[in-house]
Amino acid sequence: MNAKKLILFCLLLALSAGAFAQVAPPAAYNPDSVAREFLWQEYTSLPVSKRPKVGLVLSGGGARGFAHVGVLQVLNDAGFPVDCVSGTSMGAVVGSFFCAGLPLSKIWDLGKTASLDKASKDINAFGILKLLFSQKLFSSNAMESYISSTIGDITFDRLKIPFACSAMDIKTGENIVFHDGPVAVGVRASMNLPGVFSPVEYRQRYLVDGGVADFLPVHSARAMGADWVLSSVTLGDYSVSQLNSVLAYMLQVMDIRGAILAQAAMKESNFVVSPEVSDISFIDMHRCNEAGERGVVAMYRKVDAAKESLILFSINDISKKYKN
Amino acid sequence: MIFQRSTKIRVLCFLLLAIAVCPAGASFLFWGKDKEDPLAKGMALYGEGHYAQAESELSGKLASLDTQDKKRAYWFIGSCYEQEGKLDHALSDYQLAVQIYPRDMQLLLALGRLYLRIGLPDRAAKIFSTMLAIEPDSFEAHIGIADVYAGEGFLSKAAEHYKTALDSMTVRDLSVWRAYASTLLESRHYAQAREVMTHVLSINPDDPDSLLLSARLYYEMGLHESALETIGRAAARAPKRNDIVLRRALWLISAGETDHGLGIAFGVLEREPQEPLALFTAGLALIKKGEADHARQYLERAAAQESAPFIAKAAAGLLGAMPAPSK
Repeated sequence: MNAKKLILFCLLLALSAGAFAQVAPPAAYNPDSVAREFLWQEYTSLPVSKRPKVGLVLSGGGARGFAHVGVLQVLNDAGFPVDCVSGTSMGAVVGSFFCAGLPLSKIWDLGKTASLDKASKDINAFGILKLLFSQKLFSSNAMESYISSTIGDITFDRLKIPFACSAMDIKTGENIVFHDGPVAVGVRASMNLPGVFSPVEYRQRYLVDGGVADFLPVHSARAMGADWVLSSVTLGDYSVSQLNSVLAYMLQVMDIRGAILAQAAMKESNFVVSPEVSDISFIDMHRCNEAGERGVVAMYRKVDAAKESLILFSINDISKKYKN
Repeated sequence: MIFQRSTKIRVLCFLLLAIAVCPAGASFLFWGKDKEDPLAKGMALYGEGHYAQAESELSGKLASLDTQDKKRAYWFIGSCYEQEGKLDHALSDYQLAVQIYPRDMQLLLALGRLYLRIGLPDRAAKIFSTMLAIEPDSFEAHIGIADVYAGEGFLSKAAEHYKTALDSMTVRDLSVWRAYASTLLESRHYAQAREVMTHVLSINPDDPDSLLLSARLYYEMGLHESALETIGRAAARAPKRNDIVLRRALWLISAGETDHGLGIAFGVLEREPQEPLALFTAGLALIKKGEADHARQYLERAAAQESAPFIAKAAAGLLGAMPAPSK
């Protein structure tokens, strides 16, 4: 082999070897990321009583709200502490499952079959047709049974993580926060689509979906003692909706109302993640897992920023370890 | 394992693999004396780092090449563009090549990797899936999919694909093992990550990146002594790497070895007086030593570092949490 051939052969070898080393090269040194990693470990090693309490707030949004599962997945992977959860509508469903200690893998599985459940079957086109002819609202009993069969007939005080969910009293317009009593009743009321399901009668109240009164229940998390609040918001893009049915109009009103309420509540949050799910309709239950995956992508992109926000919020507590 | 028998066998196996992977290698090896490789000049220019000239040479030859050489030429042209940072040109080249040769694995791989590089993971995933449809055991495709998943936060899926890739790879590439371990670490599957890192360090016990990853794993597991011992070994092998030495300094300070950690931070500051993490580390150590006024000087400098906005904010936060300066 002459020298030229040898060089070429070495080049080919190098290129071939390159084919094996296909993973992205290690990220270049970033002082911020080393500091974040260190301070995060310092934060998470603080006793719970000596660090700010973290609240997670999950918005309404129907099928879109399944994006919260993706958000929870990333927070869980990252070891993010979650000291309390509040949720509305689908946020209440997901939140109750999580706080009851249901493994995330199981919640993902529930998303795969969400469109087949009795609880969601009523809110499809055929169901609405039945609704128009019968002039009678559906019962949301199926939702209560669904929650009970999934997490058991448990009360709020028996949940592994403190949890609250919001509904609205249709007679007074009041926001009703559930934090005691049977979880399934509270979640059913919180997810009780007005105009489709008859109000849930509970403790002399007539309760409908909390999304029209408290779409993003930041106040509930604060009331449970959350010092730092991360809100997961799943808004729809009502500017592009096809308003071609009674249900579509009704959902549009809920989406607009939800967006208005969310604007104010987001300002009261310490950190907001908004998965890009605006093209998924409230009732697209067959797209729950797609929404969940978008939740993963959105939260993963922001998880370092969320850690930084919480570290900076807790810097006083962290620094105490270093003071004599 | 066959590769552990001797260096000679290892080299021989690698050569055979290289030839198998790269058709160009095979054609090159088996050239007759009379047969000239039409890409030889372009490849030589590429090898010498003259990418623009190599691209021009290879582009000029394209029309006259046979199918195999054309595929190689497209690949080299795209690589030239990538080396020059002309990623849009590289993209056009690979896209065109893949349109013409939709089942060529090397071209698909190059396109998939480029999609990842320019932040189009969805498109990259489609390309890697196409590769898997053609060759279900393609480790490059599995690594590509794993990288897509890892970049998007689907850590379990990423780990599965890294594992599959590693199972089908015959050459031990530490970077893939580390990517696998890193994904497991990120998703807090510590036991598995530890197993993988034990294996990685058995291949090369002196690699600073592997030692660093192992140390980080130990630290997250709460095994601080092992973490400090391991990062100490990493630092000994890469004493100029700030990500290693300053992480070690921070861990030492946290463990109570404040003077040791402070000394390391000062050492870095001697070389790089404005190093943001070193300034922050020194400030933290001095707070711990009770030297608030001295700490303030370093933290104020850290808080002014625009290149590290998080450190700047954290330093400002620490300053705010400190008592007022003594007069």
